[in-house]
Amino acid sequence: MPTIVSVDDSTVPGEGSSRLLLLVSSDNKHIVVEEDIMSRSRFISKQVEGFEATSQRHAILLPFSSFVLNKVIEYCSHYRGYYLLEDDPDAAPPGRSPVREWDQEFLDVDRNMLLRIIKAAHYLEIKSLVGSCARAIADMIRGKTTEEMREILGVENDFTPEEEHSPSSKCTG
Amino acid sequence: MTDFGGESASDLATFWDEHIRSRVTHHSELSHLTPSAREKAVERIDEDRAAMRPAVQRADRTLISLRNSLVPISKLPPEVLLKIFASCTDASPPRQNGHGLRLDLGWINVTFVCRQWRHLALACSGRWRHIRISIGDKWTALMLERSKPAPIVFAVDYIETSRMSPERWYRLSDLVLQHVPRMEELNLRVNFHPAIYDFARRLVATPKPLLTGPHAQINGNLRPSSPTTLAPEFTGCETLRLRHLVLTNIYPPCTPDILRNLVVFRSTGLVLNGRGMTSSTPLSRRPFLKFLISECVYPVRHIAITALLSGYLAWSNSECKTKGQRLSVWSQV
Repeated sequence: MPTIVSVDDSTVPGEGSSRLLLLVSSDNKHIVVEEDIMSRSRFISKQVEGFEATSQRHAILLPFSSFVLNKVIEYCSHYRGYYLLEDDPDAAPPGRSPVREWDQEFLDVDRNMLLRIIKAAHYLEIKSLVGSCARAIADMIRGKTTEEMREILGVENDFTPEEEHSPSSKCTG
Repeated sequence: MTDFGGESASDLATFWDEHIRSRVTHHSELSHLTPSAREKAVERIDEDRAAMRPAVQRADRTLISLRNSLVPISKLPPEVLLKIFASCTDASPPRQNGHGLRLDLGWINVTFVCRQWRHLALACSGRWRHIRISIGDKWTALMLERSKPAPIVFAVDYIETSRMSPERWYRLSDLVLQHVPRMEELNLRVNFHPAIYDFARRLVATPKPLLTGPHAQINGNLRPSSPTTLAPEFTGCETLRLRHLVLTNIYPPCTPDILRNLVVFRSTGLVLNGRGMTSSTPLSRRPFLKFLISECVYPVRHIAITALLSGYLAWSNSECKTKGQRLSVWSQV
């Protein structure tokens, strides 16, 4: 759970129609963003509902860097006002994540950055972004041999010889 | 404490004390041995090395697992990793390349990457529920087992089955029939052959309380005097969940029970030559029917289908088109 600190109203402008949120990244960068942009995040929406219940404005501390946070904000800004089925809490989850051309370009980043974005998207409960990242990671390993997959993901073979060649093995240690 | 595959760092320390240190330390006084004692010492060292080797390999695997648990991909929550597996499943389903000559396991290859991924994939029954017999008997059996208790989507395709022997069909049908009550979707596209037809009949005749969408197509060698029909077990209470019915070269069972909750109804195949044709009247007033394609029902003028989005009926010289939710048919027969 994030730490929530009280902030001065002057720090967070936004009385009236376009309210602003103050997001604080793990590297202590303060980022002001319109609430409307971040409404795609279920996590942020729930935080804002909490603010309304207590009539107090807060900054939201997030456990990832400003670089990652800015990428997420860029995604949310791009889809501001768009209806994406995956983000509709009342809709049945789609069987597979749709391919969106813009997402593919947006997620054309190195592996570690992609993993940071998907982790942040999961934390912020932005299902459409989690789905797009998952698809991008799946594309990275699609059609690759097991060895190539391990190299891409940075993991090593920890199976016993028997486990490795037995598809029914459950790896009992 | 990091625990991986049943072993942990503290286990490793205990392991070192019990299996390695004792064997290494008792070889420390070797400098003043006689030649014969040296030979025995060499033999003992070789024996100790052989005895230690499996234990060292086990320790090495545990350390690799610990190392794997620290890399960025392993820091993702399990539900995110499962989402990645799901994307892999969509992008690379298992299939046979080159007319069944080579098996491509597709997404299943993720279970060979590392222990963590295999544990996770095996623990998620939903990942294994899309089963095609093209992946071979061994993998069909494994996937049926691993998919428990999830509802299954089962597919048999004539391209994959054209070279299957009758014996294999009977073996396979015995295996699959045990899991039919979990069947949510059935996609059956086969060429006519007694063994295959027997398989299809048994499959269709077994109760399938979860079934929402059978897609059945049987090609070739259908005798006009006895075209294929759906087994009577399709009628009755278990059809309440039936949402999709796609039939080719099979008599459409246009009974109110079958049609009750259908969303998609497609029935094609000119081989029927008019036999088994039924009136389209039961199609009207279907509350959920959105997509209708049929070459096998007698069109009747102005069928009202309240939810219809797209409709097409064809029979002899008749034509039809949709106007909003009203399907208008002009028959010149």
